[in-house]
Amino acid sequence: MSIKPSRRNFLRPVAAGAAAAAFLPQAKLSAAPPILSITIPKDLPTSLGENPKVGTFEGRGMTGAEIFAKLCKDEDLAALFCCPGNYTVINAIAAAGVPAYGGRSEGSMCAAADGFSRVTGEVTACSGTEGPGFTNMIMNIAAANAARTPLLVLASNMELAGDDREKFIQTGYQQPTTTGMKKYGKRMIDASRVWEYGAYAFRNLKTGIPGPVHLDFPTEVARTRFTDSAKLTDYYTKDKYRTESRAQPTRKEVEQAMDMINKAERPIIVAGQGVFQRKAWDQLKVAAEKNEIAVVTSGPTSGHFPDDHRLSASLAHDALMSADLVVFIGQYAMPGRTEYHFSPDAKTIRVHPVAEDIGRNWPIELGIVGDEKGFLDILASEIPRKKRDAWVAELAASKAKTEKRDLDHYELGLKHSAATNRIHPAVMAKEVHDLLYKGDIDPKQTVTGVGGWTTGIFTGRWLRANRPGQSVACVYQYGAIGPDMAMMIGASAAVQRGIGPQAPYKGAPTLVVTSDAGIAYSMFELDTAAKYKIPIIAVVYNNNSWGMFPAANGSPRSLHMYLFQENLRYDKMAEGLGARGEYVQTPEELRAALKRSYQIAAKENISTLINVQALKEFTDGSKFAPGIALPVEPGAGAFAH
Amino acid sequence: MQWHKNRFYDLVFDAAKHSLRFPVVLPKVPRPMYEAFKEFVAGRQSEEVVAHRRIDPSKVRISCSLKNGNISLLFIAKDRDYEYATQKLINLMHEVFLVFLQDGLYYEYMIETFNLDRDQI
Repeated sequence: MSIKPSRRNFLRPVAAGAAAAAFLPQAKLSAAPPILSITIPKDLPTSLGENPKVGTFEGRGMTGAEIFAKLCKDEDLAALFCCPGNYTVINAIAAAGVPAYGGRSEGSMCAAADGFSRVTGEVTACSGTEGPGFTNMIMNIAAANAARTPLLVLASNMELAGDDREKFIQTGYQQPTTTGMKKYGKRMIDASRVWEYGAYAFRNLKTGIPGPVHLDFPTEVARTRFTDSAKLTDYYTKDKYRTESRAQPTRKEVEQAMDMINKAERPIIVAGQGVFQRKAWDQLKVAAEKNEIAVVTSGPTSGHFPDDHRLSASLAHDALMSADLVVFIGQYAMPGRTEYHFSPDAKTIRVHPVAEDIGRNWPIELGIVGDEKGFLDILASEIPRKKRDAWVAELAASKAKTEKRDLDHYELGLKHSAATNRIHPAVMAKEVHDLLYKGDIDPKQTVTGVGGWTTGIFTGRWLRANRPGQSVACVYQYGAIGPDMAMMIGASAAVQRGIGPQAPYKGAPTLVVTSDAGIAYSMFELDTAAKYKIPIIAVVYNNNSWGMFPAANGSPRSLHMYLFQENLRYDKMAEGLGARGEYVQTPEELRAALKRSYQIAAKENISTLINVQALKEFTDGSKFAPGIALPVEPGAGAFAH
Repeated sequence: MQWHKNRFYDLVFDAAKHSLRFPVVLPKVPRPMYEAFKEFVAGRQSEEVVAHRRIDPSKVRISCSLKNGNISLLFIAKDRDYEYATQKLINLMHEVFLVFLQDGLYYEYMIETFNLDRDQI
């Protein structure tokens, strides 16, 4: 009898016993009791199919949680990701009709909310219980803060009456804990002000430079009932408690900018995440094409200028140094001049929604306070047409040089793979690239994410973003190892629902490339993906160690701290969580596994984890050239700014 | 000046010799790396480099040396156009750190030589 264990087998009740038996010695087959199959509970679709029910002040009235949920619904909160806890609030938000997802750890759910937002630009929320659930989210709140994600962080927080008494369990001061990693926060202490502070939250989430907002709900606020809206402070609609107005540049400032662009021979726009979040990609494209300005994107999300456009500099690394004018638009995390590959001679214009940040880290010739979309609207309509043939040719030549370098590294990787019977990271990256952009799949279709150290460095340069919201740098700025899988499940939920720029690709599979170190943090969310039928392919580069293991060089008693057991089977673990597992050790096996996994994800909404067996020594350039070549910033593979 | 990798660099101008010199561009450099460095620097005067980035050999003579593991870089302004020479020298130094050292072969070199934390490179 030969039955390979797979998720399909597990899910098919009649085959459950046989599938489980495949793990057992043959001699025990007849005596083995049947093992129950993994199933999606029948209550789940029923629960998801329930009609929304927003509370009213009639009858029993509304709780503070329901009032807050009504505000979230009115503000089009795009999704809530949570673990149970903060029960009153999450139940109210789900009841109000906000798409809600429950997962396996609060930290991962926080990353998922961040991922949903990164590929849509929408406000999302995460929630956890009191002290423990809330503190579990900390790493990913900080990651969202570094990425300037408009993330609403919610948590229950015991009862005001129990403050400082350590009554029962879970007491903790939350707001000081998020100091330095939020835009705004408040422990609500007066139920009558729940709407007022909800308005505070969305004013901060939807205006200015985005960032996490943290509200914690004592039970007195969440559970107090109101039958009369007059008892609430500042209870008025969003058009009265915040504005859609944005700072607009003056005509004179835009004329100055256009004059500098026209005088430049090799201008380049660095289109930051502000361009994405303000959905100004059409205006960007028109302006760039009219005046033949090069464009490179930056930020946690790529694609608001397509990598495959002739004016894209995302792969034109060498040409970056030729730019004589750099126009930053909506660059929220600002690098220093020794971090981006621009000449010290290049002049700089910075367009930014608020004045306070202009001039920080990077000296400017012209600073313009203004909304990204407003600036690009004027630029697109006013900038004169201009041909820059030499600059366009240089971009093309530089892009070809980068592609040749990456192919050379791939060829080296192929040799290393053949010599070791393990997969080199350059080979893994190229195989993913070929599946997504060189075969039958629409190169604009698949949203990708990448994390990890070795994984990120080798794979980032091979991933492409050919339309808005197509690629996520999971480690962006904060450098957190581990949220990748969860973040991309959140992004996948957005694709599944077809939100914003994901609408044309609604329901398509997504793909994340992460490491064995990283997967440990959020692997259990494969259960969440399976539960909600979110199709994701997780490519796990398994090199048996933390990527930073060379830090133990010269410290032999430390090395053990950097190593895992070798040849762990993440594919088997995935099967145990209700996903498919694939194990590969050669480029050919990887190619076939990728294709198979994508087809099953697309047709059956089933996720797969592909365990790519590798060696940690591949990052040692003295033994396995090219070693670790850091990504050029800005551009494909960049993750710092 | 404090510049790449938060280090201080001396730039010496000698009017009599019409020269500009960084006495220490990179420290603790092994011989094979120095050979690659020389090749990189020579490449900046090559016809293969786009004109606006090229260091014109008719205006500047470049030489570098390796002493006690330190690479030094010397620009002679042949036509005494110091503005041109300075601009090209600063740009070359910038590219040494952002292009030459970016090669995967020098990752460990940077960690050890500049005493960097691996998370801060």
